[in-house]
Amino acid sequence: MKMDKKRNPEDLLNPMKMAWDLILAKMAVDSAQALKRMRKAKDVLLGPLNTEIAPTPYDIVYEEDRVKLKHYKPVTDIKYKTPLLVTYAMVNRETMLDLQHGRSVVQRFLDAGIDLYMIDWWYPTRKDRYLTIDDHVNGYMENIVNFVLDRTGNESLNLMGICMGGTFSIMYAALYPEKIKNLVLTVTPSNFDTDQGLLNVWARSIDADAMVEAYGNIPGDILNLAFLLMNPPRLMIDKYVGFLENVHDRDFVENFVRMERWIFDSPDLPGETFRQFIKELYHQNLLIQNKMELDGKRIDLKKITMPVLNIYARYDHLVPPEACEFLTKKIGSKDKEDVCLDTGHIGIYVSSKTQKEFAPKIISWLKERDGAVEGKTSKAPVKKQKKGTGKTLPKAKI
Amino acid sequence: MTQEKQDKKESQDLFISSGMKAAGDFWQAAAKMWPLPFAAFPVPGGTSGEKGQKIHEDLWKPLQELWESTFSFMRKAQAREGQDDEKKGVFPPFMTDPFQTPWDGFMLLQKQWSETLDKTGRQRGGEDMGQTFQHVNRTVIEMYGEEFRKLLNIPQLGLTRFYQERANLTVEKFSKFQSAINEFLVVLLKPTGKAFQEMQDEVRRLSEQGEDILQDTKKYYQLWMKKMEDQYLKLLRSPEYTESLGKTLAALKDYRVAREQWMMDLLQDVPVPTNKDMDVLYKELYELKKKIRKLEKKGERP
Repeated sequence: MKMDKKRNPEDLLNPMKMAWDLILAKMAVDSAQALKRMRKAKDVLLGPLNTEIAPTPYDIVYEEDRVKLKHYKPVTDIKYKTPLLVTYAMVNRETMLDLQHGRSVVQRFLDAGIDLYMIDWWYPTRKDRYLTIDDHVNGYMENIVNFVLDRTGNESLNLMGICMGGTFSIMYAALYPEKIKNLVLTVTPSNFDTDQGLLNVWARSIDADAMVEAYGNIPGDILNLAFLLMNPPRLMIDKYVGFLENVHDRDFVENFVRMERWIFDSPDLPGETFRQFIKELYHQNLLIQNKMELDGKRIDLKKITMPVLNIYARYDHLVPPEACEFLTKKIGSKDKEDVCLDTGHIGIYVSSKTQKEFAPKIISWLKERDGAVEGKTSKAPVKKQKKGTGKTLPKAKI
Repeated sequence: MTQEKQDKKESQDLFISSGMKAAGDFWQAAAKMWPLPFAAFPVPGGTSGEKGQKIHEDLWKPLQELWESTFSFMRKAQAREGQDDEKKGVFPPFMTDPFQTPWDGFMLLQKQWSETLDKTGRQRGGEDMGQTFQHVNRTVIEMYGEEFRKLLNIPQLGLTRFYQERANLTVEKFSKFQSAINEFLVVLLKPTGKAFQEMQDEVRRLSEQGEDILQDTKKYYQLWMKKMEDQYLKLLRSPEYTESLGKTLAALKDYRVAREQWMMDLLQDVPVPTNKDMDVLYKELYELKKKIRKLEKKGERP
C-alpha cells in the first residue's frame, strides 16, 4: 500500500493524539458498526454488571487482632488426610485466588476434595505499625497452625505460601518443621540479591527507616504506584486502551473490573514488617544465607526437611526466577521440585492457560504425598466442630 | 511641578478626602441607627428598650467614638501631608511608606530572577523539550535555594518562635519535595521523548521502503507502545532513575515529618490526639500484648 501523501507523519507523534486517534479510527471504520458498539457499550456500562470477587463461601473460624482465618465450605467429600493452609502476601488481598467462577484456584482445590484454610491478613491500622515479621510468623501463623491442628486432630498440615506469604512460610517451616507435612511455595522470593527484578533494583535506593518514620504503615497506594511504575506504558496506557476497545463486551468489562477491584484493593503494610523486609531481606539477603533471626532464633533452611514444591513464573517481573530457584539447593529436603511456568506473577493464578497447569499440579503433587482419607466423609474432618457461620468463633485471648 | 501633575494631585486629594468623609458619614449614621434594634428588643425584668439602650452606651458608644477619632486623625494627616508632598500617589505617604521597603526588596528579587531566567534561556539554545524542562526545573530549584530558603530560615524570635519555625520548615520541605518530584517526573518522562524520536526514524525508514503503517493506526500504536516499553525498561533499571526515586522519597519523608510536627502544634489546642500521642499508646499496647503472650505460653508448658 502506498503512503497517503496528505498525512504528515509528524502530526501523529503525540501520545494523546495517537491514543485517541486509535480509538476514534477504530470507531469510525464503519459508522453503523461504531454506533452499534456505542449503544452496546452504553447498555453494558449503565446496566447491571456482575463484578463480585471471591464468590466461594467460607466461614471465619478464627480471629486474632485484625487477622482472620477462612475455612472454605467443602463442595465434595474430603479426599485428603491433611488440611491445606494457604498464606497469602500482605500486599494485596488473598481474593485473587478466588477471582470468579472458572478462574478460581480455591474452587479447583475444593473440587479436588482438599480441606482448605486461608489466612486473611486484613487491613492493618496504625495500631499495627509495630508488628514485625516475627509477630506474623511466630505469632499469628503459629497460633493459626495450632488452631487448625487442634480443630482437625492432625499432627501436621500442608502449608502453601504465596509471594511474601511464601517467604513467611519458609521461615515458619524452618522454625516448626514438625508441624508441616508438605510445603508448597508459589512465586516466593527467597534470594533477594538479583538484578532480574525491578523491585530488587529499586529497593536498594529505598531508605526504609525514613519511609516508616514518615508514614507509620506503608500505604497500599504507594506500593501500588510502585507496581504501576514497573511498566508505565502497558499498565497506565495500553491496558485502558484495551478496555475502551472492548467496552461493548459485557464479559470483558466484568472481568476487567474484577481485576481492577482486586489490584487496587491494597492494604497498608505494617511499618516494622516493611522495615525488616527491606533491610534484612532486600538489602542484606539474610534468609538464603541462613543468617536471619526471628525472636532470637536463627532460621536454618537445612531444617526444612519435608517435601517441597517450588513453583515460579518465567516472566515474573516482581519475583523473577532468580529470586526463587536457589531455595531448593539450600534446604534439607530430599523430596523437592522446582516448576517454572511460562507466565507472569499474577497470570500464574488467573490466566486460563495456567489454570490448567498450576492448580492441577499442586493437587496431584499433594495427593502423591498425602494418601487418601479412609472411607468417605461428607464434611471436613473436624475434631472440635465449631457451630455457626463464623460469628461465634474462637479468638485469641489477647 | 507641571500643571498636569498639579491637576492629578488635586484630583487625588479630592478623591481621598471626599471618600473618607463619605465613609465617616456613613458609619456615623449607621452607628446612630444601631441602638434602635436594641431599644426595640423587650428585655425581661426591665422596661422595654431600657437594657438595649444600656448596651448601646456601654459597648457601642466607645466603639463609635474610636471610629470617629480614627477617621478624624486620617483626615488631618492626609490634609497635612498633602500640602507639600509631590511624590504621593493615590494613598498618602503615611500609608505607603511602611510597605515601600519590602516592595523594593521584592522588586529587586524579581529583577534577579528575571536575570537568572534570561541567562538560562540564552544558554539553553538548541535543546530538546526534555532538557529544557529539566533546566527550567533546575533554575527554579536554584532560585528557590538562593532566595526563598533564606527568607524561610530567618531566625524567629519571641514566644512563638518555635511554632513559626515549624511552620516555615513545613513550607521549606514542601518546596523541596515539589522540586524533587518535578525532577523525578522529568526523568520519568524522558523515555516518551526518546520513543517519539525512535518512532520518527522508524516511520521514515518504513515510508522509504514503501510500507505505510500510518494507514493502520493500530499497527502504529503497537509500534509506539513497543518503543515506549523498551525505553522505559532501560530507564527503570538505570542509576539515574533509582537515584532520583531515592531523592524524591527522601524529600517526601522530610516534608511529611515536618508537616506532622506542625500539625501537632495545631492540634494542641483542640481535643484531638496527635499521631505521636497515639503511637506512644500503641507501642505500650504492643509491648504489653507481647509480654502477656509470652507469659501465657510459659504457663501452658507442662
